[in-house]
Amino acid sequence: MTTEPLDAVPVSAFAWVFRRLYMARGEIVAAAVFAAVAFLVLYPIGTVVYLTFVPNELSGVFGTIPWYRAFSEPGMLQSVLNTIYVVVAVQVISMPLSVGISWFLARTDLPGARMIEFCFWIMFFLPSMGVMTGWLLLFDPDFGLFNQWLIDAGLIKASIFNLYSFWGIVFVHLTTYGISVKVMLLTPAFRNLDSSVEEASFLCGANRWRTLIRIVLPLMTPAMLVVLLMSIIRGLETFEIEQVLGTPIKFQVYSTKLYLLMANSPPEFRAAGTLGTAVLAMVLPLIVLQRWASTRRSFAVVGGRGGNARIRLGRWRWPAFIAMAGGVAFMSLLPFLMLVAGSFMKLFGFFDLPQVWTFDHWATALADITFIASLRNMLYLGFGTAFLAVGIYALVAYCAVRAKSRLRGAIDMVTWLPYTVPGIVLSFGYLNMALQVPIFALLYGTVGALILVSFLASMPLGVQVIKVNMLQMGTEIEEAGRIVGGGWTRTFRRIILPIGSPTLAVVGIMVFASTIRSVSSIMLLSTGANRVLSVLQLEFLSGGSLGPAAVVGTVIVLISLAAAIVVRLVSSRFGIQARG
Amino acid sequence: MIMNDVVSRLWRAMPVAVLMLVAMAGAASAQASWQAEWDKTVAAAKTEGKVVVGMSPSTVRRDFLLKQWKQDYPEIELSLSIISSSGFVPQVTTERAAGKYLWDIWHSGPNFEVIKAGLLDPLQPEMILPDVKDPALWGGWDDAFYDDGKQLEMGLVNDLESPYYNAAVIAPERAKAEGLKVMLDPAYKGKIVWFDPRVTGPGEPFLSLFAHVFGDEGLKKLVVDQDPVFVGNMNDAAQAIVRGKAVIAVAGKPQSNLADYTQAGVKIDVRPFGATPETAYRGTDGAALGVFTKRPHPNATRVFVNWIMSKRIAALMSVAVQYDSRRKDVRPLDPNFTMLPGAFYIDAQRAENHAREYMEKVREMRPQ
Repeated sequence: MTTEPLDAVPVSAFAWVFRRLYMARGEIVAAAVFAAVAFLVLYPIGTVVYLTFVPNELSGVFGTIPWYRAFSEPGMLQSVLNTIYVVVAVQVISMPLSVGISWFLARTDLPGARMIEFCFWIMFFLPSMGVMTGWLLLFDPDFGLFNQWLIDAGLIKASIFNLYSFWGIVFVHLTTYGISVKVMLLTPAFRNLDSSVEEASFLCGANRWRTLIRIVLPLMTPAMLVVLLMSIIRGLETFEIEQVLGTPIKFQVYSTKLYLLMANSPPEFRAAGTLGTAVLAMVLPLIVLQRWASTRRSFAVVGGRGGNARIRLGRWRWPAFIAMAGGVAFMSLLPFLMLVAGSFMKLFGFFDLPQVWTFDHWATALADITFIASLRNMLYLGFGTAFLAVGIYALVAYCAVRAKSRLRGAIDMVTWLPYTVPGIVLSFGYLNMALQVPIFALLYGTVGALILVSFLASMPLGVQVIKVNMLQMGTEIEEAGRIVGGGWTRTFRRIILPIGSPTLAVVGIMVFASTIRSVSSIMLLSTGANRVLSVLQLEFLSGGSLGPAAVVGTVIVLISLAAAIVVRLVSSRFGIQARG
Repeated sequence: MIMNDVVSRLWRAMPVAVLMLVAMAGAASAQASWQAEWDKTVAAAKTEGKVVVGMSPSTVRRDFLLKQWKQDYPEIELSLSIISSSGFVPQVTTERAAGKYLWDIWHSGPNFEVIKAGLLDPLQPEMILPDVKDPALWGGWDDAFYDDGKQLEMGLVNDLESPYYNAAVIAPERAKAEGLKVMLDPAYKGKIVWFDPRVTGPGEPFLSLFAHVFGDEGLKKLVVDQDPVFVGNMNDAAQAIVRGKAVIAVAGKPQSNLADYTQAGVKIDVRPFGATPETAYRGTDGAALGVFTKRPHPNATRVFVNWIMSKRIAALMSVAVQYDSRRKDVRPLDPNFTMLPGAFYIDAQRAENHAREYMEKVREMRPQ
């Protein structure tokens, strides 16, 4: 019996192919993920972009071109400038504040940090319209209670706070999503930081401030860039605040102009699509920049040692707590209480009525013939989307960060795209996809179609947040997993997911909360059969039933809060919050 | 002699009697005919089991329809979707391009895009019940239908709308004497609140009325010189009046907009400028009716059409939603605020009144 060298053993073609495939499995998985994500994202966006080049039926030589139509809308330039002013003002104020707050919450021994952090979750869950109405009650120039108190106390002679102003608009942005979403996302990122990095800095003689500026913040670059970019894009899209506070003072922004086009009869989808596409074009370079800045060097802060010591605030501990707790109570608990109280008031903001309080709105809303079915649909939608999102977003983010594939960057870029086109415009693209792709057409008219759309709409938020978390993980963790014999799936399942679980929990709850209150993306796919509570709320609002609308809004917030509390309890029960 | 007289009279009355008998037989036959058709349609509708309706936002009307229908036809499910009239047409045309024909009934404001897209069938062939198909009860088909061919979209509601004012600030006598011209008084500059007329909605139809009353120059004066405050919803308009920030409101009807406030005990005397053609326009309250082509439930559609147009439902719905029915045999809610007989009113939702063009002009006059 003779022996032959191994590579000289003839192998079958099948075995050869199998071996090659096995060796290239990372590339294959990345390619499959990219293909699936690109299809799901580019189909609806492509539909919208395509329509912007289809002439419409308006008369005139250039009137047929949607791009001309959109940008010849009266006052468009001023509206774009107004948008830039608001976005810049909000980001300049909110970014340093949020970074500071997150650092305090995650890196110091501030008392009640978990509770304060949870209050920022509450801020995120509160509907911007509800919060704005609450602030109007306090800061309206004519009947605002705060102005009245100051006048009655003799401190001022005329109202000094006016929410119907540029700074009023900025203030409402800050107290709705401007700060809360940043703190929600940055705090876990700061918490992931291995404290040995700071300790090394202290040993080298740097003080806390210098350590923060020279060591901690540079390590947080990917997280801060992602959060900043998300906030800027979101700032370009939101329109409720400017619609209510800006319209009476003739302050239109880009998104309110887009709304005007969409609200036309017939709706000018194509012209509105051009505005959406213009944002896409403007944001793309920022996405590329963000990608470059996040990947040009290692930002790993989660290593094998896992030091988690907190900086002692010493005598500043309680003053810092009072300032932080007071601020967050003002921005979260006060609007929350006003929202709940408003649902029990006969007329919101009228305290001089013969009977101020009532259960009538709750009775009307809960007895609504569609309430129970809408609630059930909403829970299916929220939980369905959240569960689907957490699993798949993690895989997509992993491929965008770790896959040994040239498609890594492309995956990252493409997941940003659903965020860059306003939901109200993209909804038409989603509608086309849901109807024209056979497998999705089966879901049309069901909650399944809404889950699909909500999954896509939340993808940028979810994937980017998980991606940042993965960028913070050192590759040595995975290498250790492989050394002890784990394949990439096992490493992903047994090491990456557990370490990233605090972030996954945050993503899950954010997706859940965003999904159950969202209307714009799912509006065109909503029918009587799959109506959810947010759509019912819109129906109440459109029909002028403000009390029942407030009740439905309150129910949505309470369900979000309940889900958040459960997530936190479950997380701590299973030790997930060790870092998170 | 007497006998002859009786026979002679009977003989003379014979033709009349015969005619009466024929007429009665004809009527009985006609009744038998529509009744048979109706029974057959209802039976077939029950087999279909469902009717799908897209309607404009009104929770009060939605609740009424759902409850009343369930009471009357428990075997047929009523699937009601609140639709945005601007987004609905692209939605349905996209569905149809994908081979999905899901809708039976259009029950929203008159919408010319629905007609232009060829989505509606003639309504009259769906009418079976005699009182439903009597044009006299609806003021004639020319008046009832909003499309050029007078067959596709029919208004069910007489919605007479006038701007309203705070009577504690503007004397009712003056409002009565001067009508809408009061709105051009410089004293009320910045004191007029208006549901944003640059957006399709309840503020926009007033443009046709103002253009009709003031002319183009007057409209410009109102929009630019008087600097009205545009708001995004009805409640902001009502609240501006209640809080004293505005004196005149151009946004729907005061009795419905301010109902929550007055019922809660807010003391305010708010009145519409009037029900004359110079102070009010006529609309449909988003309650026009049409049937879709290639509808999936044709029999249930017929039942719904006849049901919602019947006198009983028209009367009940009028009370429930607080808008007058167009049916002449249904009593108006407020006899003092109805259309003057024979007068011409601007029907702002008819194409010939150019509300859309005025909207474009206002966008240019007030770009921010």
